[in-house]
Amino acid sequence: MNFVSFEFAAFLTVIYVLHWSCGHTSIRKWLLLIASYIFYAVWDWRFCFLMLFVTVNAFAAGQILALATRGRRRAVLAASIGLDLVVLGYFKYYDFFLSNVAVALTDLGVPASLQVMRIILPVGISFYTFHAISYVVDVYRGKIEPEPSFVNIALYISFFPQLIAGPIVRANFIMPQIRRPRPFSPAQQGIGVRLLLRGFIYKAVIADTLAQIADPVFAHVDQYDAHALLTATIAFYGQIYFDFAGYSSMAIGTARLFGYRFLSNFNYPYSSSSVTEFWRRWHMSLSFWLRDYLYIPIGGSRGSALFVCRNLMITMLLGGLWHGAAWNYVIWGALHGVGLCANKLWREVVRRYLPLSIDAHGGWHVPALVLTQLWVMLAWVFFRCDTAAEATEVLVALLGLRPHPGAAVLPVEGYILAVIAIDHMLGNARLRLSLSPGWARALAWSGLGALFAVGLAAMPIVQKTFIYFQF
Amino acid sequence: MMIACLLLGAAIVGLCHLLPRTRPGRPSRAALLVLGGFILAQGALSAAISGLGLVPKGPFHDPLRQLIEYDGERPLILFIGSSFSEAGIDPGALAEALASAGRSAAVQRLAVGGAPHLERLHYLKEYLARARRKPQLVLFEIAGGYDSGPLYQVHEMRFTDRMVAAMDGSSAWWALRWVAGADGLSLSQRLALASEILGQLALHVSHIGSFWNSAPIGEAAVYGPGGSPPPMRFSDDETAELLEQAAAARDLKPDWPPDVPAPWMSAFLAEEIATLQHHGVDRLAFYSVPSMQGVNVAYARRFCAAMSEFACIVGEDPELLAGLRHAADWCDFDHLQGTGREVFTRWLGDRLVEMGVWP
Repeated sequence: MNFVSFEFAAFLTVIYVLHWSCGHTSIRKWLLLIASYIFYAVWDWRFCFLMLFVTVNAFAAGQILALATRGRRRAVLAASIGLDLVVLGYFKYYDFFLSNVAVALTDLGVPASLQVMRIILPVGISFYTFHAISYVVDVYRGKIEPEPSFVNIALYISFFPQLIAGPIVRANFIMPQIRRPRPFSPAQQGIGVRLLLRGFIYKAVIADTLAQIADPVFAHVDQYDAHALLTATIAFYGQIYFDFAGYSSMAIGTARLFGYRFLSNFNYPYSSSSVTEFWRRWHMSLSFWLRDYLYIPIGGSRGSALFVCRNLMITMLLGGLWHGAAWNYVIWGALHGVGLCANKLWREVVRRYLPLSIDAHGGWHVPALVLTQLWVMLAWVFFRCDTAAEATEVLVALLGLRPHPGAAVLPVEGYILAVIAIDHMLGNARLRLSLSPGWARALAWSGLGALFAVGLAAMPIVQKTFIYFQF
Repeated sequence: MMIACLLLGAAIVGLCHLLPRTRPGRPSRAALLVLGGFILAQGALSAAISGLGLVPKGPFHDPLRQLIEYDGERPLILFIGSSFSEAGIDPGALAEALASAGRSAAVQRLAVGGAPHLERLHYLKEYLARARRKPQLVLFEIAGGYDSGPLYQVHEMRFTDRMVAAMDGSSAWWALRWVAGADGLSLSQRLALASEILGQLALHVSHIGSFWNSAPIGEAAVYGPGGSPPPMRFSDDETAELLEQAAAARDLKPDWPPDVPAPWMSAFLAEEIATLQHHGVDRLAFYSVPSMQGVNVAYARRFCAAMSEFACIVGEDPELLAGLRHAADWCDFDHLQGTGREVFTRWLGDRLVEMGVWP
């Protein structure tokens, strides 16, 4: 169920009314749990059992961890995470692995007839397995108590606002909220509606408009000229941000309507002046998850620069693979890993050998910002293209290394960058209009409603699925 | 349009960022103001879009305008159908044929490729409400595919500019009745179809997405004589054999309803007839365009047998079929072209006179 659809609007309205009509906390939780499973079953009811299996695994691991001796705790943790990774690996990576083994064997001259199984990728599997892992690890680390209520765990893993495409909510952050009654607060409802509306505009008006520029070009890369490829690349650079940030905003806003608070997932990432900063602002719930559950456990920043770079590369390669079982995602992750390493090494060089200040407000800021965003944009080409070969073709054309004749598109890159700049500058600056007379405030608020109506009229009727649904 | 949408999105996002936070305890006032602004702007937009005709101009636009503006001396014959009629009937040639038989008439079509019954009735109503001159005779196309499943084409065209434009309250009411009465649908399928219909009704009423002609039906189905090359090639022998098989066929497609016309179709026809009568049009008839598919011919035959109180013309006369045995007459199994179109049009003119449909 797409957040930008009539089905979801109707679903949300019904669940919202029922939720706040119920007086008992436990009934509300049951209601949200059932609603979440219905939400998931609309896509494919069979995979509800898979999600239930992941939930039972997490719940059981939590209970056993509470009772296990110190020596056995590690084994329980490994077994539970291992099961989650087997589920994730089978559904997401089995075909990818098998097809690559087949290619490798063929290249080596070994006759092999490995049949890929064309396994359906369950929507949101990457997210709910990560939720389950987060819970078990947090219990293991003693950050939270093992949850005695199965309903609470099931709701944490399946809660529909974050089920399909995140944000990845930490167990130690959300479990206390699930345990306590959620009071109805008009102020919280206001924030929820505001986040929903903002996400809607991001997605329905901006991202879907940008999709109309990017999609046709990336569908037939060979048929467009280099300038069109540049426009499409910039359009996708904007599209993926407004699409995913819009989705996240709607997810966070929806959760807020039910009284649950999620942390932000985006913090104006295109204003980052280093790849390191980018990952502190982009899909923060994933990058912090990877940091805490992968990067730090394998060594993190404790060691030589080379060791840290190794850890960064491992984290980003796996992060790339998490997005999809294809080499272009691995290359995308590798490019970000290289960016992170370059930033790390550059800071080391400056700290040791150059008497320069590289703080964010110095003269370095603008070139660093431009360089970082060009790198991010370059990496998005691999993310967007179906194959690494296609992405290479786009990059070769963009860099002018080979003539690439073809059709042109409307050169709107300046407008796209302007939209991103307006969003980032105003959002980052945290400026607020000072509207002291009452009528000015009233005019501003009703103007927002009027603009929203115009936005609806400007919304392309056929909605695109959120990009992150595929992960 | 694209640039305007981008800038509009930026303006809304910018305003969202700049607006002051609601004062503690007063979020409901802000919400009411936003809602008020939204309702006012939505009303103004809808009025402006409807008033200025800023809706996407679909394939019905031009024929409808021609029909509405027709104010000639000759009485008007109107054909309502799909691409079969669009491809198979030449209005000018039919008018000439009738004139040469001393039955002068202007002939017009309200026939567009892929048009489901809902869409045809929607535009028929619009035409009748705005026409300078009402038609003297209306002929409805018979086609088994369209007449057997009312929701198939509606679902296939969901959220296209055409379907949104046609989904007014009356169309939605019919479609919802079909969803409720359809056989073999699960509850979730019914809910999905119903939400599609209501969604399109909401779009039709509110003009959401009206700035975009975002999902136009492709122009693949061009069956006119000057259209794209035939997608299917037959030899003359194959054509003759297929026509013979079609003439001999008696069975309908297994997934078509055995009752002809289906109960929903009978009810819909009653609505169409009542609409015509309401506008003073009493003379109506049915016709089918020749087809090389036996199921279509068998359906048309059964339909005419069931509708004995109306004049009904099945395009399967041996004399007609003898004139359509050349491969070049056919665009594909169901669509005529070139000489085939001329032959059928002439034959149809003769039948209209002979049968007293156009006395």
